[in-house]
Amino acid sequence: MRDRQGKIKVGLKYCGGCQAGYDRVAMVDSIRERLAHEVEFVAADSEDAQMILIVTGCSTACAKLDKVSDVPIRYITSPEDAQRWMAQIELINTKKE
Amino acid sequence: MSKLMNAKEYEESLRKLKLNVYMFGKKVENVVDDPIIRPSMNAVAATYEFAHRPEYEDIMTVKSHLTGKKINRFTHIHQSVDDLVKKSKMGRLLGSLTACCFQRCVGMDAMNALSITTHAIDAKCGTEYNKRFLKFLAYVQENDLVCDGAMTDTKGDRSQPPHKQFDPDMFLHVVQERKDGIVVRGSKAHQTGAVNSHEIIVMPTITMREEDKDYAVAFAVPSDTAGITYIMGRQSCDTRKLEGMTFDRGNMYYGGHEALVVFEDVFVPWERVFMYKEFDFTTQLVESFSAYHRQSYACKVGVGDVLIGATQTVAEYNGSEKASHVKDKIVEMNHLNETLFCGCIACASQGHKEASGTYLVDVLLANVHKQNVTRFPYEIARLAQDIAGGLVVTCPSEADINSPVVGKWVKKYYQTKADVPTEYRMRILRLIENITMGTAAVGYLTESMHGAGSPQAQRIMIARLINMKSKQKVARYLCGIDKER
Repeated sequence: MRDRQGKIKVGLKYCGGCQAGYDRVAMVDSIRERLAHEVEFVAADSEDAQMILIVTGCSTACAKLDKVSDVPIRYITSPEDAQRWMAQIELINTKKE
Repeated sequence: MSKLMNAKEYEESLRKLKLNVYMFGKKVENVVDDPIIRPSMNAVAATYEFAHRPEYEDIMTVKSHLTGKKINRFTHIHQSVDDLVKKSKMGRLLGSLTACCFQRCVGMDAMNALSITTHAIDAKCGTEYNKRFLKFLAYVQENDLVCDGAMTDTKGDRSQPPHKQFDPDMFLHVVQERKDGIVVRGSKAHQTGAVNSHEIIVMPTITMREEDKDYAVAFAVPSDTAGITYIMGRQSCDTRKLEGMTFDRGNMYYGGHEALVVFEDVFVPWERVFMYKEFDFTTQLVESFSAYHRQSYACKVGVGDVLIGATQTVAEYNGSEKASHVKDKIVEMNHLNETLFCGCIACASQGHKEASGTYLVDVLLANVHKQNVTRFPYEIARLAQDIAGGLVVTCPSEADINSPVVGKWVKKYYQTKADVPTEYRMRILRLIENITMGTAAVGYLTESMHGAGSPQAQRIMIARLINMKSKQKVARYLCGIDKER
């Protein structure tokens, strides 16, 4: 389920950020940089999305998708969560290779 | 596709309005670019700008229950508890991004209250107010408009009801009924964001009795309707905005405003009338609007976030941030601020569905929340000034620090650390001054006291809504007065 460049298309959605405990946008920028060869972000409602990443500023994780998704959904609620997710993606990519 | 305006489009939409605005005794010819008014326009524009940012859109936008289209949450009728909670979160978010009143909640609260009351009047009286209201709502959503929610009459002699006032115009009232509509006269005071609004939604301000039925009127008109005049309220330090973009203004980008809005024989077509002499529904409209608007004071939590951030920063600049009493005072500020957040989240979380389908906050908890808001920002502001030090009120101007003659002394004697430019210290002090006693104190302090009803109004509601009998019953059983629960 990858595109021609072998990237996973990840639908990106943020929570509203009312009291975010970290800089969510900077976090996504860092993911974009680190996983530049593994991940391509698309809109959360894109039909091309192979998984959905919901980036929330706190553990309440109140963000909801506009419609029911049949692809895997992963929440990131902290920088540590993001590190774990990036490591998983890199591991999957290594195994594919 | 409904139009989700951006900030620039909003600004341009305001330029098309022909508002009759007065300030300092003179007509304001260019409202949008007036240096005193413009920061308030910027704050409303932020509600449009942030709706387009992916990192805020989950709070700032929502699907319309009328059309299914994506709309700005400020034009939404709450369809769930989640909507109510996100409204509270939106208030905090925008307060924390602007440090001022962004003026758009009052129209949202007016529309939600009217969605309930028009439905209730129709159910009892067979009228068609709800149909008219929903048509108006669809227009507002489709065009992403700002609505001023105008409830507060000037009220004249507080001991007298509307019909016994020495001047009949002390409460806005109907002066003529025509085939095509009504004509109204009166005024609405303290109108937040009035000259940044496309529409004005007028509601009665108190419970009316039959003798006051000419005053029991609710309607919406375009803000530039003939006969409407705006008289801008003064704010502490307002003319600093005429000095150019100096840091003496404290908040470089945003602000708020209030105005006295005069309705001198204004015509309202029937299709825009949502209540007409149904005096027995004024209580419901006033109480539901008040409950929503008391919830809306979630915004003060966001402004508190900025004030706390500024206070911590000035403590670090001063080198006092490690003093135990300073750390404890910062904790106290956060404790008070988060307690406010608890209240606005709680009243939303305990919301319920009304017969119209609209979700209403828990009225008791909304009143408790607002009662806290009448107090806590004052204490947070006091602690901010305590930590900031006396320089918050004795600091020279930006012109002085830039003076070729005295600037060197201002820089030298007000510098606290080698790596902290004096200008930084002065800027953060000006922001604290702005929020605690300058233009933004209008919103953060006195509006916290009187906006959405003065403290006693909440205490009356708390007394009425508390279930005292059940508390007494348990007490009597546990101490043995009653033998059964």
